[in-house]
Parts: sequence; structure tokens; C-alpha cells
Amino acid sequence: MSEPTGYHLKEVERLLAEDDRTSELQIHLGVIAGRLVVRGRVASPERRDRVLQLIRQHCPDLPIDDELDTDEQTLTKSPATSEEIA
Amino acid sequence: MIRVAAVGDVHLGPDIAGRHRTGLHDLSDRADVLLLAGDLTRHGTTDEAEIVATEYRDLGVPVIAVLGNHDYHSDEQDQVAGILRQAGITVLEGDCAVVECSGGTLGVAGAKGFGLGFAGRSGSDFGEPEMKAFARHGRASAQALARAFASLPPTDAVIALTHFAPVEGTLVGEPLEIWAFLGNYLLAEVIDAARCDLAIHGHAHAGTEKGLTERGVPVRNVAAPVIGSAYALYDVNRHCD
Repeated sequence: MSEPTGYHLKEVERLLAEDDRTSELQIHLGVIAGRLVVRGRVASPERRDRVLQLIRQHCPDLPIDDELDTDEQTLTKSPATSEEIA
Repeated sequence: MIRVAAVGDVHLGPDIAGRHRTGLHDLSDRADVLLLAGDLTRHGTTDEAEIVATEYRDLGVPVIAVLGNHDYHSDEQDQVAGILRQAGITVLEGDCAVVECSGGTLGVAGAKGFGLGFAGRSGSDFGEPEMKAFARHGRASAQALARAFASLPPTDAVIALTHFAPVEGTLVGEPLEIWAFLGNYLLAEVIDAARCDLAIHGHAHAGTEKGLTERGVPVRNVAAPVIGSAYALYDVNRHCD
């Protein structure tokens, strides 16, 4: 099993941003103890699946640690307070 | 007092259609206007624009938007803006809108903005054509905001609405290396010259909500991941209050 270089990880991050299936600009990849750690925040399980699918396609040899945060709450929550702008 | 709701970077697509509307159920009870600070879509397609139009149609308050970089991605920004306007959403780019609120009249000057960087660490109109194009577009984006302010009639309160950040303060949390792609100090210079009451922007998902311009205009980064809710609420006092 060959470990991907930093250049390859940056290339995959670029693809995650530019591929229309993902368009995720803030996903970060790193290799720790032989595992590919995926970090960032996505808005739905579908977006998470697409991100992981693209990563598996381009890094097929490494086990993946999925540390993505799926945020399904932010857009549904009313703000608790308002701020007075003097 | 004018009650302003604002949010940006909602990045709507088919998988989350209807989600934000759920979070806006109480909007008309709590706000006089909703400002959308760009990146309303993921790829800037007309299909996504239809989802955005459905999300913000007939909310009971005026909705005023600027587009963001994602909304330009498919080179369909004019069609995207057209679809939003058909849904009653005001889309600004170098122009303004005036809203009559119970607490007074609100003027909104809007433009997408662009990167360039911040004083002492910004791109310059020098060197390769690509670098000059970047710097010139950054400068042109600030000129668009200036045109928006120039077109604004006198109102009780004035807000600048952009997608890109006018100050560094609201970028804290983002990697320093990308700040030049997140904002542009010339936007702040225009905001200070206009002496507006509040500047709203998005774009910096990992940034900070609160900042200030050199002259003390409050700046708020309302990117949804930053505010952590469906919208942020600001009570803006009239100049004379």
C-alpha cells in the first residue's frame, strides 16, 4: 500500500472543490498513522457520501477516517437574540 | 429602530431544498427585511436558482440579495439573478434598494465584491495579465459598491451588503494565507466614505462574526456556519436616534 504524497492530497482537495458532484471548498485531507483523515463540514448526508466517494476514487489504497461534520441544523434554527447596532 | 435579518452562504441544492424556509417561519414577526449575502447556490445553475427562488418567495418581508462566487460558477449569473428577481427578490450589483420599515427607511447598497487583500498585503495591478486582471477586478468591485452608495437617496439608516469581506477582523479563524481571496480593503474604504451604519458580508465560513472598519463601522460576517442559525438579527438605529 503506497501512501499518497502531500501533492496528491492537495490535488484531491482541488478536485473536491472543482468537481460539480461535490463543489466543497473546505474539505481537508491528511494522513495520520497510515489512515486518510477527512475533515470539514457538509450540509447533508448526500454531500458527505459524494465527498467520500470522490476521495475513495482517488485514494483507493488507504483506509479512511471520516471526521466530516454533517450540519443539518444551522439553517433550521431561529436566532435566540438580536444585537443592537448603535 | 429597523430590524434586519441577514444570512449568507446557504449553498442551496436539491438535497436541502426547503430546509432554510423551515428556519424562516418566524421571520416576518422578528425582522423588517432579510438580507442575503451571496453564495445562495452551490454551482450557480438555473436549476439551483429555482430552488433559491422557492425558498425565499413570499416570506412576508422584502428580501435583498447579492450573489457570491458560487453563484457565478456556471457562468449563468445573469439568469440566476433573473430567476430570483422573478420571485420578488431584489438582487443588487452596484446598485441600491430602499425599504420602508415601521422604524424608518433603510437603504441597502450592494455589490458582490472580490478578493484583493488588505492594506500592506494586497495584490497590485502589476506584472502578468492574470495578476493584473485579479487586482483590477478587486478594484472594480469596490467601485461597484461606491456606485451603489452614490445611487442611494437619503434614508434613515444605510447598510452595505457584499459577499466578500471588507475587513480582516471578520476573517479571524480562516488561514492567513487565503485572506487575499476572501476580502478586499477597498470595500472598507468605500464603506467608511459612505459613513454607513452597518456592513454585512459572507464568504468566510471559518471566520468571525464581528469586526470594525477603520472609522468604526460595525461589520458582520453572516456566513451561515459562522452565525450558526437560520439568520442573524440586528436592530439598527436610525442616524437621528
